[in-house]
Amino acid sequence: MNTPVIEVSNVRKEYKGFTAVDGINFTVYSGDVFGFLGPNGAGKSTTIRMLTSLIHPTSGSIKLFGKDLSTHREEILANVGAIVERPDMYLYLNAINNLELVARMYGANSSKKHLMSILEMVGLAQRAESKVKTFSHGMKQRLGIACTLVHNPQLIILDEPTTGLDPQGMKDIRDIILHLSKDRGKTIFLSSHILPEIELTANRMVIINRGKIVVEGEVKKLLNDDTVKLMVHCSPIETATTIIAESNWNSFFVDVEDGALRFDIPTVNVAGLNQYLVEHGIEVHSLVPTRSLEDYFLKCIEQAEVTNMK
Amino acid sequence: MLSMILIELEKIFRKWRTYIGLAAIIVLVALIQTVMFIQGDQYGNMMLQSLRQTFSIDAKLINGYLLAFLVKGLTYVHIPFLVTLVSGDILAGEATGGTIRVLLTKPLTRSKILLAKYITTEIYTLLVVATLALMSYAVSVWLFGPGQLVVINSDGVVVLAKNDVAWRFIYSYLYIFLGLSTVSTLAFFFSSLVENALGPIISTMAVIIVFTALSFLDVSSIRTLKQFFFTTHIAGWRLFFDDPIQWDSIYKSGSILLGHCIGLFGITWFMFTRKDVTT
Repeated sequence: MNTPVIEVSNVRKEYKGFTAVDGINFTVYSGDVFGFLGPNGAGKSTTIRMLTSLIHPTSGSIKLFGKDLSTHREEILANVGAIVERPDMYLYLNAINNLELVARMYGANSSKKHLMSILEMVGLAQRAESKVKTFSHGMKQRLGIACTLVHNPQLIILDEPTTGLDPQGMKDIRDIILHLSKDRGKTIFLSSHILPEIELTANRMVIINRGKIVVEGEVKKLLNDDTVKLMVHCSPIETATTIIAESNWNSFFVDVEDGALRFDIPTVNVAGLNQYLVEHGIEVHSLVPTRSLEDYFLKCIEQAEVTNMK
Repeated sequence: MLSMILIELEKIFRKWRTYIGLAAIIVLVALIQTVMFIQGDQYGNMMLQSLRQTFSIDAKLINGYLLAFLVKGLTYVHIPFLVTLVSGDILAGEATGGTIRVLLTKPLTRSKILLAKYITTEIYTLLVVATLALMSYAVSVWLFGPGQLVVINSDGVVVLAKNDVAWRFIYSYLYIFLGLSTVSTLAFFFSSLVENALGPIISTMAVIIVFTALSFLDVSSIRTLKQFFFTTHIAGWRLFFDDPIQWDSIYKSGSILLGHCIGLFGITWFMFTRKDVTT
């Protein structure tokens, strides 16, 4: 049975006249890649700062590894590696010196061999002696992840690690996260405002909006139940529109947009729609599902409001 | 703790800014020594012209001791500024670079981190004083030789015998360390409040200038207060060159400076250990 690694209970953080986090609850279990999703300003960073004791909750309790963070701070942080906000380093030092400094702060193994093996893992071994000020953002992210690993922690907290990266950089970081989870058994707490990123890496997630948890559950289950915006590029489009209008699929049809049929349709029904169009002589060129975090949020919030009204 | 102090020392000595202060002292003092070496007799005669009318002085007045004494005048403004380059940056610099988050998410208490940083600034301050002592005293005595030290203070002229000077210099350098520590503690305090290293440096210098200016105002309300200004006591090292030495005044001035150090560090500790890091 999985043991809880992070237990957040009724945590609230207030600044002068502003509630950044409003009584949130969630649990992260050992081995999870836990997605912490929300738009900018939702309370993600505030929550991560509370998890790493950079800021103190106004009320509520945070337990890591079953121990209260407010009373066992040093003991807990010895087993946590974190990047909060950005992977900031000492720019005037080179990569291996930065790692060595962090290792010494943890009282961990700071031998060159050990540090090089970590740099190897994040793909920076060739740049070990380069000053960090010469690094690209992607390289800094990878070095930041390396810094979280020097003391072999059980829990790794990453705050928007793919922000500002190009597609290749995003993939590199994703691969590292999956490697840490699957091959090294780390528990990973991953914050992001990009839904596909969470979809590709996390097994469980919560969505936070305006300081409140809107959704919590298993990623696959939550997203498969969801309705996607589907753009169907097909020809002839006029015939397709008529066929759809005369069928049960019409309830999912929205409009013709940019030369394609737009549907708001549950993901489980996409294959059926495709089959129906093909069987009626329509040539389907592509079906492009798009699911923006914004749309998903709106749906979650609407559902939450309906539940509250009932 | 030792490991953290070593890490902090490594961090400051890998920054070029740290060497500015030390280099500036070396250049400043060397410049004064060069000028004195070239035109020292002329300067000495001009300075002691009035004295020669009253006293019969046949000793060599421009010597290493006098030069070392004169150089200490830099400790009013110039050297405090150089000290703040490191003490003003040590916390604010981490906030600017974002590395404060790296530091504070490590399994170390904030008190330990703060103390390690404070001790590091004090080690740097000590190094500044040691550089000053080496350049102003050791090099000056080597260049100009020892001799009687003629000092003009508020009570008149004090002539100190050649063999009665060295120990006074040692004590006065220790006192200067205490004075500069007060300045560095003030900059350290400002450094804990802001996220830009320039702020603490400017704020500390502003405090020194304002308090020094207030000290010159001969107003009754300020007269009472100014005895508690640390700027009033920074120049207390001169008391070691009185004859006889007023030890009570030295203890009082030293206590006020030490009180400032303890008070300012206490406030810094109280705020730093409780503050939310939102940078």
